[in-house]
Amino acid sequence: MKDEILKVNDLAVHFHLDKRIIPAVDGVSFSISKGETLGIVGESGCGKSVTALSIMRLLPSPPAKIAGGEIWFKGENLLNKTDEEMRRIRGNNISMIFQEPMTSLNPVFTIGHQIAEVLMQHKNLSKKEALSEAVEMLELVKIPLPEKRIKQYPHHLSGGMRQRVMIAMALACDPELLIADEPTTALDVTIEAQILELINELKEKLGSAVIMITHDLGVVAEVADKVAVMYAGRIVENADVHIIFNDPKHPYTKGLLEAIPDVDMDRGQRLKEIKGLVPSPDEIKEGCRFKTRCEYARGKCMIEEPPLIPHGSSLVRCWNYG
Amino acid sequence: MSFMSVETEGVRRANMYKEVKLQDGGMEVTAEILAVNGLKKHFPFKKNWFGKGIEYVKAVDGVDLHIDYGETLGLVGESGCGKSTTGRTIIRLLDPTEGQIFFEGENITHLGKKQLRQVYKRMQLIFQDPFASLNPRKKVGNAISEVLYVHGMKDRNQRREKTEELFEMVGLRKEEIDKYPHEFSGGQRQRVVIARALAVNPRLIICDEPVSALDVSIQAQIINLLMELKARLGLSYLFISHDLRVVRHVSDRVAVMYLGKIVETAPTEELFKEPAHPYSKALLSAVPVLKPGSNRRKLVLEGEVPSPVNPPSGCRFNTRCKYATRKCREVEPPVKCIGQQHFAACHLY
Repeated sequence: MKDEILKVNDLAVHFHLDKRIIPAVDGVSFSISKGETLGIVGESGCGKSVTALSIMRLLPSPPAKIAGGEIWFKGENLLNKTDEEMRRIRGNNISMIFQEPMTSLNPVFTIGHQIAEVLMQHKNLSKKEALSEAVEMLELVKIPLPEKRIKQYPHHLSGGMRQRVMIAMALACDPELLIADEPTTALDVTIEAQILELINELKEKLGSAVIMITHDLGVVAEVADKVAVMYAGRIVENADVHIIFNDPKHPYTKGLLEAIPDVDMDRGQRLKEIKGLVPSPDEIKEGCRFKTRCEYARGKCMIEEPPLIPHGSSLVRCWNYG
Repeated sequence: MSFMSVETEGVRRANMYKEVKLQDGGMEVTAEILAVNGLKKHFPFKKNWFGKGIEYVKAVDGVDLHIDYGETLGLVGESGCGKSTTGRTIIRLLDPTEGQIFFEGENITHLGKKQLRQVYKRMQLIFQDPFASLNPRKKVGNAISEVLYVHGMKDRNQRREKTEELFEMVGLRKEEIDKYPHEFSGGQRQRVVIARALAVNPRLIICDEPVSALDVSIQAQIINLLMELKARLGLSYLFISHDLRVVRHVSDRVAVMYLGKIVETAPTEELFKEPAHPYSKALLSAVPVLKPGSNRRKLVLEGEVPSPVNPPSGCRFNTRCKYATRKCREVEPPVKCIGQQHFAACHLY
């Protein structure tokens, strides 16, 4: 692949709790190239955020432990980096936007101070230079009156504004990879539209790669080029965004798409539900992880877990395709 | 499966409630299960020395709406527009500052606690967060049994029987009555909450973001359950949500709220096909479509929602509206009828 910037190989993350081991992420592999947006979708607890946090090496250990796999970023395995080296990579090369902008900003420092701090740390700028660049960054994310805003505190800003500040901060050092973990979940639709447009625009302008983690398939349809669907710690389908929406392969992906009432669907008709619940990690003993909720489950699905099977240009973890 | 088989039953029931009301009521408003006129709810935000409010958050500022028997009215808007406050004021969890609330022809605006208990036999509320609306120390069966006791079912066995019946109605196993809330998942807890609301045979249920806290696959289960119950029991819903896709799916009519006021009301299909108010247009176009590369042009709104303490003069949307004229900044637009059951408050019409 050309310009491959990040490659995750067989990543496994386990949480050690009271002598129990919970495999939150289990053998996840994907790659992403320059200028590309990868959407990772799944329901709560499927391991999508844990995947992102382990790329950033931000998981507290213990309880979390990266039990296996490799994370190649520009030819170097991030898992072999020391904490000091990681600190330099975070912000400089990879940065992250979180869901809740209020908890990710420090309430006792001004916006300007917080953006300038990033620039001073990573680019060795003086305070004055850093502040003037902070103003430019706020302009880039279309915050009106940036000179005034840098002197304000987070509580002065609305949710959408705060998320813009977070994006400005994340982009301050021109990272090659931006990880956005549910960046619009806490926001209203009209503000969500603004933020998604902004992320798309900045991606074009700066040419960085984006990993968009979300539970909302609508957001994925809007911004992603490639999609990885996760279920119970595993990727169950990995394909181009058009294929995911027009010709989904895995029963779980199909189920998710049918469960959402879309704007051009018949009103009032019964929604297709995915029966049952997501299994807890202890319940997964053998066979396909989706077997308890799958309408196509048959003999082989009960005993043996399917690998990611290539089908056309997509990868599907389902015996129906193997 | 469609709801056709049971639909007739629901419609029949809703009509029966309506006819009974029409016969013994004789009041004008009785054709509707709920009618709200000029509802206002202001929260004091700054107080003077004497504890009297001097500045108010005008969360709900003049809302008119009505719901027919057997109808679902969707109430949409962004956070802070006052949709939840509207719901809570209608069911009298909050006391209205101004305006009137008629429920089944009865003015419930100023009813006392005791009289409200009679109203709550016919009107119930479901909250967003099923984790917060159940007592963690109480078995879920007891939570429902308590409701039955309060409303006059004193016999223990009878309560147990009724609780089991309710559990089955919402798709839970009756053995699960003796479990505690933490033993349930979010979707199941929401089912318990729905069962509790149904314990009193309500006719109107106010659903305040009933599926927002749930995962997509579970969301579909709860939406289906709500619609099934409506078809079976002839319920009416006030369905409050910020999720436009869900609202479109369940509602017969939709009201769009902005900054404490309803800016447009229309039958669902019509609103989604041809929204009239500029705010509705922007709101609807912002919903992400499930088609990649559809390149639908979005009407991205500039700026942010103004503060409800000092709402803009004239039309409240004028600060973000691209069609705003001088008139919009000075005169508040009246609600105009622009089609069958289609109302909008905008000077363009």
